[in-house]
Amino acid sequence: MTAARDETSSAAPPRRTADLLVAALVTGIGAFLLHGAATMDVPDTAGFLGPRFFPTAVGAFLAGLGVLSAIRTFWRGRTAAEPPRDRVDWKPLGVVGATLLLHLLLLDVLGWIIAGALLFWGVSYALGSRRVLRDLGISFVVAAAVQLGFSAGLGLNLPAGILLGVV
Amino acid sequence: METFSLLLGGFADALTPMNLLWCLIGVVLGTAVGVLPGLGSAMAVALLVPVTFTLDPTGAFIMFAGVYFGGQFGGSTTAILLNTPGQSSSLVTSFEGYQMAKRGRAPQALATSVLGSFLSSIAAVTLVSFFAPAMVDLAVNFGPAEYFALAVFAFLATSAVVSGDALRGLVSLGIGLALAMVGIDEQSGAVRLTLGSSQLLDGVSIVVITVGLLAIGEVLHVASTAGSRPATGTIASGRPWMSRDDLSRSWRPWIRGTILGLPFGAIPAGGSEIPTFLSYGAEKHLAARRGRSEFGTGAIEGVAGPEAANNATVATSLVPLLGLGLPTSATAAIMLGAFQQYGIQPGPLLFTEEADLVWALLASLFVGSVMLLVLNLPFAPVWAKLLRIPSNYLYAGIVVFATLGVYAAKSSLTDVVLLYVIGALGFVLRRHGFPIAPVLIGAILGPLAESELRRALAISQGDIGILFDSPVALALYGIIGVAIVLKLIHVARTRAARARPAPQLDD
Repeated sequence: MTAARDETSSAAPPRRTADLLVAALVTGIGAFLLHGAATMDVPDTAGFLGPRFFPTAVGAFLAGLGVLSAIRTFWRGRTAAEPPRDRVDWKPLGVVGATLLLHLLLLDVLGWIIAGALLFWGVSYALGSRRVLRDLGISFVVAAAVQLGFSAGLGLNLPAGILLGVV
Repeated sequence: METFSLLLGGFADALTPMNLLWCLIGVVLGTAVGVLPGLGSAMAVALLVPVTFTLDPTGAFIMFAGVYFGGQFGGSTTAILLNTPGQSSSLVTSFEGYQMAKRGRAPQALATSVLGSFLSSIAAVTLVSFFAPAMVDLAVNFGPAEYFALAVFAFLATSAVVSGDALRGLVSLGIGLALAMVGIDEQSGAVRLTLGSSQLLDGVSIVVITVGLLAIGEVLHVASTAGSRPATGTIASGRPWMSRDDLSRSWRPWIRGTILGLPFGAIPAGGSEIPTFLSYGAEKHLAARRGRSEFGTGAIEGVAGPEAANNATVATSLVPLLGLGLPTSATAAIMLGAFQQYGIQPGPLLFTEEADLVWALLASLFVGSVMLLVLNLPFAPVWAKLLRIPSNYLYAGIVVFATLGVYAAKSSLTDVVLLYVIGALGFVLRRHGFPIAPVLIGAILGPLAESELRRALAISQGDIGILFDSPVALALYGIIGVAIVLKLIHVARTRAARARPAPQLDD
């Protein structure tokens, strides 16, 4: 094949490839279950059937379904009468993903108010909002209100992080 | 009548000023969460379960009932206004409801949905009050074989029979079963599928699975199309008021929908998808026969019938939930989890051991639906104002609340990681046309199916015949067998019909 085409300018990638990937994923999950069942440490106390039976059965079930899906994709090409899917916009999706990841990394370090505000702001930005400053203001108000509601109202603790002394 | 006095006792417990306040708060919060796009009653209950844990059991259940009904109404509201049903049961509502909203008839669609839901809920809760104990008597005789048959019935009913594509439905089911297996096996103590992580020993919480699949998955889905269609717009809706004509067109669908929905909730495996689709189909058929069908462009009958059917089903689904400990919907499953948090095991013994609590819960369901009608009919425009928040803030808020709800429950960052990973899984599933409901059913009933199967075979010393040695189990396998055959016939017919070119759906 020639060099990879630019995703954003090309038409939707063939569904067949995507469907095959999903079929492979399903088969992979099944294989993981089978592997997990085979390598499991089974205590001597385990009774009849034991803890291995169900993972083995479900693993075989999923692996079989994955193979069936792949066969069906080859057989029929595009599954009949399904509406065409929208093309994935990787950029906003990536921004949301990065925002979630950043939130996980920062929650304990910076505390809820900052990490939560960034979470709110990042998702809002990814979905197309470009009023950066107004959004930042709203994000902090939301995060602070939530902190107040959960800590003061419900007595649930949220990480205070670097604002520990202030809050 | 004994039931009356017990129910009156329940009302006495439920109608204290403090409990009424909890119910009111629950309705408001439930509607507020349910009205967020993509979030339905399951999400409302899932997010608000941690809130109820600070209360005593009676107060918590009453708040629960409020949240439950509030979430139901809220979910239908967004199905109508935004075309984003929060749960599969209000999927059908969005077909005609959204068309009505586009024609400027959103208030009428909302009103017929509110009134229809109220009437069918009252009818269904009345039935539950009188028949749950009888159902429980039957359930006392249930052993491992029957429970296993019930779980298999629920699995196949939701994955293979109801969903449009049996292969995809079964994959979803398998993924749900796999998710539920992570952690320590209860019977043997073996560690399963944790990838060596000690945080996963407790397994994956059902709340994490639900919120991840539905809320985070939905936001990722919206983000995946945000480049070409920035999600920053708003939606408006007016005052809900029905004309005499609207009422006269609605009341028959309400009744038909209620009657259709009632039995499906009580079957321990129904789910409200089937009755809503049946009601929609029936109303469409009847309208075509009357010769002035508005279906496709916003028919009020297409909202009234399915909404009534849906609410009748969810209310009667309390019968298997309370009487058998069997959840038949995502919401019911989360409620089951909450019961267990209080050390209460729904099932045959619940009505004798925790009688006060059960009757208080039933009474508070009445109170909750009345409170909701009072709150929703006149204040619907206020709720609709939530939708005037730009969508980007709405979705950002969903992520914030989902993250927080999960984090606050156990103060565990691992749960948040799992939430996002499962959210990504939900996005992939949704994008490739896999139904979400079977994942939830699998995750919820998987452990039950496994432990009952192992228990049954332990009793019989490995003789598989014990699974079929009961009329109830045989009947369940028989019903599911017939349903699968009917489904196969239906698939073959539609495939033949699809050979002709289908008209293209726009938008």
